[in-house]
Amino acid sequence: MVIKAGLPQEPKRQEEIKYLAKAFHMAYMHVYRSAAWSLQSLV
Amino acid sequence: MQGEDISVDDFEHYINFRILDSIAYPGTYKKFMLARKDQDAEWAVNMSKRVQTVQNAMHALELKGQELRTSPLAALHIVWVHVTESTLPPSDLQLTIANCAISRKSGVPCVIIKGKGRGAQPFTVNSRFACFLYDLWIVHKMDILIKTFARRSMEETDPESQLAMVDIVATFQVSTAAVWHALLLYRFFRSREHGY
Repeated sequence: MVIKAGLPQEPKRQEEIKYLAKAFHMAYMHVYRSAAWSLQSLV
Repeated sequence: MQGEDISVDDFEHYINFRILDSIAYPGTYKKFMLARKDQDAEWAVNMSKRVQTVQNAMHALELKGQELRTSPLAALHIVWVHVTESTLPPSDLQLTIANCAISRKSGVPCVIIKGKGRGAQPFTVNSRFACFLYDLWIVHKMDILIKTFARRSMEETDPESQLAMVDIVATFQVSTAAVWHALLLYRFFRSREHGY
């Protein structure tokens, strides 16, 4: 059943992965938006 | 697909995929997922789509970096390449910057990354730009960070590499090492959140 879902189901691990996903998303959006529109404002 | 369309959920699926695909025999999980996708398994179709979304977003970012090359901020392209190709975080990275317009900025709280080599000069950036460089580095080292996270977990849960994929997935528990590493990452990210 677990492999059918394709994801590790241990609750605490999922919590950590959720946090990492949020952190990576935040970093990505910061870089993408800066690169797209406002790099000049950073320097 | 624009970079802005990507969600936290997409990254979460991507992390799960990379973890499972990096343990045991690398690539095994990907084959498993693609086989199930071909059989129209809903979870596999969804995960495949999310993984592709993240990969497309990374490609979009790469294109943004390349656009810098021909822009008025061409000097930044040098920095971009240095940071993305280095295994060191920006604060430990020696950049070779020559004739960089950005370095003429002064009088603001700053992080100094010293250049080296002929024609190089001290490269001064403000704290917001330092945050940008860190995020750039994190995004490009994402796969390595995930792989390290997975490896440390598996060293404790399956030191003899005896488990089958189904067992690995089922027994992929939080280990002391994994918690420790997650905490390091957590503190690292938290310490930088104030920079936004």
